[in-house]
Amino acid sequence: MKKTYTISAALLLSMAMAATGCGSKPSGNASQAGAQTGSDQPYKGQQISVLLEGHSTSNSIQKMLPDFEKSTGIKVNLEIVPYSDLTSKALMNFSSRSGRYDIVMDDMVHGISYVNAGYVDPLDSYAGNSSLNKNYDGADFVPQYLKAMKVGDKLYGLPVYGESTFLMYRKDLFEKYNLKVPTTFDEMMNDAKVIHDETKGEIAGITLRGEQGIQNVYVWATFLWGFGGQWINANGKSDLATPEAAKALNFYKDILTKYGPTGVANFGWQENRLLFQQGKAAMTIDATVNGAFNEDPKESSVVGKVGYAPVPTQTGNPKGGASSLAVHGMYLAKDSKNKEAAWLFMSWATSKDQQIKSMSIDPNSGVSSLSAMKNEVFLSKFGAFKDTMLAAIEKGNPNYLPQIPQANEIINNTGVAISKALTGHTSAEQALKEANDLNNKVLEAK
Amino acid sequence: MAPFKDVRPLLQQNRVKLWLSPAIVILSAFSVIVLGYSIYLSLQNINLVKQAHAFVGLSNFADLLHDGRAWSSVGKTLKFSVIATFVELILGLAIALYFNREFRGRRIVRTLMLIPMIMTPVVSGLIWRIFYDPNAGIINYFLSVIGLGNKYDWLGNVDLAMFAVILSDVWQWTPFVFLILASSLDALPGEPLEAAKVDGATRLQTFWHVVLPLMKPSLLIAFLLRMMDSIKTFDIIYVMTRGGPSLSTETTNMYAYIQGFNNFNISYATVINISITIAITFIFTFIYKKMTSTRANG
Amino acid sequence: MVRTKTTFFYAGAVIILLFFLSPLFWLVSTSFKNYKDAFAVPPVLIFTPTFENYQNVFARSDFFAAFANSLMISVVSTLLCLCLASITAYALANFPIRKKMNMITFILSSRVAPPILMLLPVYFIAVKVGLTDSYLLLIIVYMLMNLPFAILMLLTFFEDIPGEIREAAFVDGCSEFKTFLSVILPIARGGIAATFILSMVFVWNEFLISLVLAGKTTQTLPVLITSFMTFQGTEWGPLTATGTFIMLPMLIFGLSVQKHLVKGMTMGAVK
Repeated sequence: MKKTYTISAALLLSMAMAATGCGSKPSGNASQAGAQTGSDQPYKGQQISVLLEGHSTSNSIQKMLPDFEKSTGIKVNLEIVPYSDLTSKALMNFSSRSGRYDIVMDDMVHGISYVNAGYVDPLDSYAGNSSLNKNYDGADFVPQYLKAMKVGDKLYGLPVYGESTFLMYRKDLFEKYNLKVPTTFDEMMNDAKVIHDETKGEIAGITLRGEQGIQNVYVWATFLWGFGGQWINANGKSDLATPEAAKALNFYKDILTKYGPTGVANFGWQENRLLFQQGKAAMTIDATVNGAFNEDPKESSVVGKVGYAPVPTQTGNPKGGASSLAVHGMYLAKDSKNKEAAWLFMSWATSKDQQIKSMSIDPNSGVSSLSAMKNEVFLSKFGAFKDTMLAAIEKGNPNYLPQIPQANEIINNTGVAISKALTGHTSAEQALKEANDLNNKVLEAK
Repeated sequence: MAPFKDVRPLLQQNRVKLWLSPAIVILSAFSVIVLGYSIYLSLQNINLVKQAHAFVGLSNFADLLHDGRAWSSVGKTLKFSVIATFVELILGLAIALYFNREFRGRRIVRTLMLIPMIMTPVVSGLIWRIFYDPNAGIINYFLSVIGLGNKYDWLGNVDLAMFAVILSDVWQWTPFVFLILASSLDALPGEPLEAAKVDGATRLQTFWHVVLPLMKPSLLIAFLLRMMDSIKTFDIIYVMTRGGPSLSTETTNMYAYIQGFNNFNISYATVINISITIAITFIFTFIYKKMTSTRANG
Repeated sequence: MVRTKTTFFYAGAVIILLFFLSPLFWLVSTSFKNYKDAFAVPPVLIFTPTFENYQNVFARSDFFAAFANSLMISVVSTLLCLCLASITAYALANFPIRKKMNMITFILSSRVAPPILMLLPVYFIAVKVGLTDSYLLLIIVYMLMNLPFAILMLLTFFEDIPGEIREAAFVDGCSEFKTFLSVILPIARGGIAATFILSMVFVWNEFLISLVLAGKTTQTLPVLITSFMTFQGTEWGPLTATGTFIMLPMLIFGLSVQKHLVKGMTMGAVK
């Protein structure tokens, strides 16, 4: 009788196989096929898999990809997933040594984790190899972006796009109520108050992100640094249970509950941006990419009315810059079987020519190429805030978010604390103390 | 009915096994493998951002006992499931009774009521998030049109957020309860109702003493299914609030997701999952056995 | 008098339906709107429809691939699941089985576990046996996810078929398997269709499992939809267009077997 089971199981399995029509797929087994063909296409026939973040740059890369495949003979599989799910996907593959992705695009905070765990390879040998580096031009990248891709003195990623944070304010309203662009948080509080009071709350004095997690942390960190705080102290301990951090959180809470819009506690990047570009708030601090949305007549009702300025700070002596530096780059997997082909792809996708071309496909203000920034499309679309953006990037703090492997967990704990304070659930001091304890636990569990 | 009376018992047993085994074998094998691997994961300290990991015994379970956020998430899960289930039952019953008559378009109504269940949860969650937007959302707009003010901060207020998430679950699953109860009403035997009428019972009395007891089995099954599935709710919370603000909508499922897929604490996430699954299985096996035994008796 | 009562009744009906259909209405209408109309307050009811969103979506090479993947994975896994489930349900319904209740409880309990529980183990095992980004993996997992539900649902339909029919088939000289195949299955076809739809809707809409287990070549529609929710905002146009498109097949299927659906969803507890 046992036999019958085996047979029926085997039958079922074969049924499944036949029905799906898929045994195994080829993955990186074509390497020898391409080796002999002409010298202009030394990697012809190789396959690489690339995990990209859902982003306008990825759209452009997808559209331009046939050019690359045609000229090199390399077959590229692009997989585009939302940013929020990107890292877990990459890490699960890296940690199980599946070799499924040759290239992963992610932001530098997670890049540190990859480097630290030994999942990705340094790129210096490729960048320095004259037979492979015809697309690579280190001098054309925004210098801060390229620097952010380095760990120690080794280059681990090629920057795809980046951004900083700045203050956006309504020039027309500031003029109307005779206000000065704030350079300190106290001035900012005052400006927010005036606008809120003068418009009887019709226009929020300021809008910022409140959604628990990376969303609120990304903006609150401006206040943390601006009030003289920091994430981690010299002893490697969490530094959130400090008067500076408490001041930053109390300020965040005060300005938003007094002069902010309704609903701010669940505002992510999107809600915050929409409110501002609909003209319902007078100020916001957010990513430099928002400038593009403010100046887009298809979406925005405040085109031409927005002024851009560096983020205010409270102390003249901060432990680090108060504007962010966020860079998303492509990383080369250590387990990749076709590293040269992968390098060719990543250097092509981030090259000057492609980034300039992307301006006419799906333009984005975060391009990492200095040449692309001189492009006409760039200037006409993003000219209004280009200079302030570049200044913010130049002062951008690479440690704006903690640059350690456990960053995600620390961000999550802190995000909960901000949310707790913002909703009045817990006092800022208490919420920060809880987060500080949790963060220390994370830091100790090395 | 005893179809196999004449067949030798041994052969019959084998035949039964042959028919049952494919599904049962596959299902049990899958359960055993998944559970086995989960237990293995739960005894390690795997975090994906570190390459090395080690055996840590039951310390993850011990950590869980002292994890305030985990306990808070248990409370939120109960709150979500219990309120959502009861609102869905009451609303579903009310709508079923409302439509329990002959009218033109009866079939169409039932057909249209299927729609919320068929919509992709990720998409409907996003739609609700927009509806709830305090400044641009349709809900506050309508409330202001009928003069009830427009400053409700649905998803940003600790007290309202859970309610708002529950409402979208109610939207999606009340039709399910409605359809169950409506077909149960259709199938009510005529005589008790007639008898009640003859006895001069009022409509309320008839409902309370005749209809409701007759509907008890369907109400119970609707209750059980909704409880079971609402505990598993993930997509809409993920899209609408991600557990915020200040953890007010963070259910155990959501917390396990954050530990596993945001903090990459694979082992700890598995421990949370195992613990919930054991707890739920216990509770529901108990309720289910109780229910089936009352059904058998009644 | 009667007329006012009827009018009130229909007014109530409209209000109830409005509540349950408003998200659908919003989804479909937004898919035909341009950006400014979509988010106007008060909502714009009369607008010039644009097909731009659909054109954008259809122009994407990955859209049809994802559609084909979704179709293939949901159809094949549901078919396989139904083959297995119907055999099991037939046996549970007709054979005298000791501890039948325990078996049903076991099957039910595998429905209780949250999908997130099996996700990590399955993923790591799949990597070890080299099954990532394959149709086979997704098909097997979805089949297993649906199996308990499908067995229980079919059981209720099979239990409704009088035993005499089966015995009559034996008298006519049919074997057990032939009886199952050519007598019982055709009788239960309504229930089978309903089970098929409900199982398929689950696979069709499922997000988390597909997100983790699927890859470039096997990406499904719900995952594609979330790729419109980017780090820099949600692309509402393509998202609503895809959202509408993804719902259509299920809606048509679902409506066509509506009668059996209700019964199936309750696993026949309502008689």
